[in-house]
Amino acid sequence: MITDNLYVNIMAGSALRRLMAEYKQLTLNPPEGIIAGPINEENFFEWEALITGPEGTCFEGGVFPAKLIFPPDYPLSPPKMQFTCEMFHPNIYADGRVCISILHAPGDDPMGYESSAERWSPVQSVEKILLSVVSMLAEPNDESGANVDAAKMWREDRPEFERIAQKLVRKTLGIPC
Amino acid sequence: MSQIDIKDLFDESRFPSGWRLVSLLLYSPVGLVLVFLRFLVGLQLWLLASVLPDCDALRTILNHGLAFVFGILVKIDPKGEIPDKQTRIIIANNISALDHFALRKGACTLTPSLWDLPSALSNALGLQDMNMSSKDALIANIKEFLASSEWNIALQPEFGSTNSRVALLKFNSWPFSIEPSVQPVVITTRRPEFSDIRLTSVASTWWTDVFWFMFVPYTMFNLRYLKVKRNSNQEVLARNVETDIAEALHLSTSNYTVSDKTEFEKRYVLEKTQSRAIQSRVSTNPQPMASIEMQRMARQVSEVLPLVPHNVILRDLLKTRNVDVTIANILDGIVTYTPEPTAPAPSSSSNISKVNVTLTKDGNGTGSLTFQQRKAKMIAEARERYILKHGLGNC
Repeated sequence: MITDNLYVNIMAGSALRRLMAEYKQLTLNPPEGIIAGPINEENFFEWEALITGPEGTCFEGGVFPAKLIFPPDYPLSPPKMQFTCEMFHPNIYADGRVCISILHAPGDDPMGYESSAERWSPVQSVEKILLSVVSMLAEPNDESGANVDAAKMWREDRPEFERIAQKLVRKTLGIPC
Repeated sequence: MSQIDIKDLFDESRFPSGWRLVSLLLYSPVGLVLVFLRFLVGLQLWLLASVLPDCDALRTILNHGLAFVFGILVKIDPKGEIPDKQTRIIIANNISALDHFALRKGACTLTPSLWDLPSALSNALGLQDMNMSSKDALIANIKEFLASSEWNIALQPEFGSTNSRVALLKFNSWPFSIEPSVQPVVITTRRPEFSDIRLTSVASTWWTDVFWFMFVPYTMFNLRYLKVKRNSNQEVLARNVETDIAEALHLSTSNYTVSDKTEFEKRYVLEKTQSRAIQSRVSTNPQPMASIEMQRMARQVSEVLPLVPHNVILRDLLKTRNVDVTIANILDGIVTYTPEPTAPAPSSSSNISKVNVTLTKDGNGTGSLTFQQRKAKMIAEARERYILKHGLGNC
């Protein structure tokens, strides 16, 4: 028990340092349209991120808030990511959880749909996750069934999908109508 | 059928354990001399086949010579059925890389192959060069061959060998579409007790398998003919023959195909190389570490701390050999450095509030705002842009 705790503490120490370093880098060189950082400076294991919908896609212009929860053994294990606004997207569950390969450790995928190259590994980073989410917003993968309705609509009724997406965009900006 | 783990179909090691291993070690000098001799004879046969014109006599000589080179003896099981002369397609289980040779010797058959060998040698090996660009092309090629030649064709519809102790791989059904009746043959082997090396192991190459054939004194192949099977439905015929052969071998059938085997081997090799890489990292082997492994770790550190010069990272990594410790050393200010000229100087920091201070003190525009302020700013700007773009005015 004691050694377990010690281990967790050591892990958390290195996780904290890494998260601090990543936060620093994200603040100094923020990728375009993305900001991210701890919700509360007291707890570096819960972050908030804002992601701008990429231009030329149906999510263009929106600023989508999301929450990132880091495990004590980060970066060995990936964080969890969840949008805190309403989302309608083939790869995002109804409760906002994001389903992309970079958030899965290799071996998490019994069906072998995802190649291990795009999985989570300690050399990945928060920045890479957020950039992957941006490209996921631009190009949904309609084979993953996080939201089956959205996947079906994306395939079969693109105009309706775009209408819903634009409604969500306005909602995030606080624009009515 | 599905309870069989694919792992059980293959041996990790071809070597025996216990006293058999001791006897094998004692035998090994003899084995190596034998390999050497056999290799020389094999080379001579190759030359002979390349130089002399193809004729039956040459084929016979090569066949006997190769039997010595591979140390293969073939016996027809007297308990088996009498082979049917009319049936031209022989179906056998697959147990080694040299089954085709045993079948050629024992049952006078040829196995389709892609090898471009001198024709006499290829015949002596029991191989027949065929067009394998597609399944249909091969089937057409086999039919053509059967019509024009008196040799029979042997096919091993597993298309991959197993350890032959648990189950057969699933039979592919196309070999049963060539003719409505096939002659099943069961192949088993035996090697002398004191050098009981298995025929194959997981992810082994054909030439290692052949090497061990040449190493052991002899390998006795036992061919047993089963009853000829007829059925116009190729799928039914395939399953019938599969069951017959499995029963004769006291094995079960499985749903694993040869592609499952390839996949398994790929995974096996990958896992092995990975664990070897970890081991080499653990063992103290400084020279190659410094070159490849260090550069990789330095890149990892640079990704997190882009402002720190590469040589500073490398110098600390040489001491710590650990990415995390080096990052910590740099963040904690234990390692001092002059930052890369392009970016503002980050100061050392050891706790969260200090990070915060450095961030907010940084001179550039975004750095001077807190996270909450930046968030608000980003949303406000996006909102403005949106209203402007869509000409919404004030709604």
